[in-house]
Amino acid sequence: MLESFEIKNFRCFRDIKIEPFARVNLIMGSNNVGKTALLEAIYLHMAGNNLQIVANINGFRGIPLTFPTPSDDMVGNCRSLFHSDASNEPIQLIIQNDDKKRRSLEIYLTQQDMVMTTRQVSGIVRESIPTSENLSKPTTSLSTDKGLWEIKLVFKDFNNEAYESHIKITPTETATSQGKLPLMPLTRLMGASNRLTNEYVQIYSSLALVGRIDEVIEPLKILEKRLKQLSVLLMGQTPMLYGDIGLERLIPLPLMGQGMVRLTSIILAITQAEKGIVLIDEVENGLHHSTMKNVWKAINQAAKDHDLQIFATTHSWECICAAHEAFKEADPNDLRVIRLDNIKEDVDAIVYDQEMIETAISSNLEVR
Amino acid sequence: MPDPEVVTRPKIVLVEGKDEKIFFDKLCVHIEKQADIQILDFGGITQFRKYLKSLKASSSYRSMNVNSLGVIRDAELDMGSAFQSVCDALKASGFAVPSHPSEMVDGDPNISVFILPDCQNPGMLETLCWQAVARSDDSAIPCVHQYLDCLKKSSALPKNADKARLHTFLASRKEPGLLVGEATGKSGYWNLDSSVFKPLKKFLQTL
Repeated sequence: MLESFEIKNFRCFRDIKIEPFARVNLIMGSNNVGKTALLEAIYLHMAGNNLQIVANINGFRGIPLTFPTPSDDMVGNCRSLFHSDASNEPIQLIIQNDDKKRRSLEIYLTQQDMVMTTRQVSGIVRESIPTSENLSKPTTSLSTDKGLWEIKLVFKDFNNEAYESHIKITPTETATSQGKLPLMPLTRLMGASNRLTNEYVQIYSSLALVGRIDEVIEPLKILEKRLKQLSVLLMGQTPMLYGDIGLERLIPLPLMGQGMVRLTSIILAITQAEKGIVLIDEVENGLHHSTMKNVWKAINQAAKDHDLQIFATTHSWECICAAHEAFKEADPNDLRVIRLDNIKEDVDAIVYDQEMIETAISSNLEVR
Repeated sequence: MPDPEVVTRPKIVLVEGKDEKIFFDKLCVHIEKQADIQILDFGGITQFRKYLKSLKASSSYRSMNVNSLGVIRDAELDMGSAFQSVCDALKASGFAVPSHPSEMVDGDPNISVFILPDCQNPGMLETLCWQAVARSDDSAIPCVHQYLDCLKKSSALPKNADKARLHTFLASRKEPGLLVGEATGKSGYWNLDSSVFKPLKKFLQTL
């Protein structure tokens, strides 16, 4: 389990250390304070030296992907990861686990003078043309900024073993060198929207194949007591989940409400991240506050069953109170609430434990 | 679910109960300090230490740049131990700690503690209010004394005489049974201009 996280020079975070984490961590704070950025930072760290994840992380926010087909935007996209766009210092994402071991990812973005780099570029391209499976091939016709840009990732695992990758980009060429990836716990990053993509349908299908559908059906009964079964059926050419609630016909899951879609996707994500991490943006989306306590009980149980950690953002005070109530009865030490604050043009974090949340709620003291 | 309490003013005073909050809100209005001072109820002395921790963590406290924090609690039977318990809680939450009651100590924020009734004697808010009543010429005062004297003859004597006197007095009004905060400021109860409230008003004015 992650116990603490240090973020340096990433997006809105100049230098922050957040600790201690619990099994379930709810992140709150005002708009644009960095809640989603915190999820992204954890996700990037958990991806190790994976170039594709770094280059495409902005895709999580709906920005067009720039990898594996590099474009003018790749450098810009990567630069946007740096605090105040300043890439003169590396991004550092450092985890400490509950055994007090540290693991780090550093992201460098450097530019060199074109005059100096002409010769280097040709060498780099030669050296880095993939000879085996790789995430990208060198491409031409790049009209990026003048000079040579290099995106370099250096990941060091708990044993301080280093894993490196880099992308080098010139106005005419780009070359990637995806190094060996470390073995990392499974991590899933879920967006704020409620869409049951094909990926989730496939996950359900694979669970059904091995008789594990109760892991999904039982939690969903919190929202729909009549639910007996979910089935994968084709709607046109598209596979979709349908629910059996005792009517003559099965009902497409999205027609059973946004909450059903949200909870289904959360539970399915949890089943696919054994001993890993699930990151959820705006967890309460689609879920009515009156159901949240039982939803949190179900999420807590699923997280325990799969021995994983959850980080979820929320804007909802009801969601936090419901989580507190759910965990108070079962595992009070398994919940932390983390509030990010803008303090003097920087971001700071306050971590609430069970007692602090209880006091804030009982004295009606504002937390958000 | 009611809207959560938000720190909105740079000077805050923590008091131990909803009725005390009502009393001190009215006292602040009386001395025209309501725009500067916000009264917050910490919910009882057993909650005080936890409350301070949560207050300090709240986003509105952090963003408000609170420059003065006052704490007001009852002495009960022992002024010294009441003051010490407040100081211990302040220290545990990383606040500055004054050496004496009613003394302002510099810090972030500045801290001052007032132990009711007067930073010297045992008692509570009701003690002050009763003292203010007792200095008036209200016709119910002899009746209150008579009632307490009568009780003394039985075994059912209340352990806090001033509190008993004040609530007996409250029961004598046209609208019996008001709480201290509710009665404060109403005609026929106690006068906030009474000299017994002077130290308390000075405490609030110098925050």
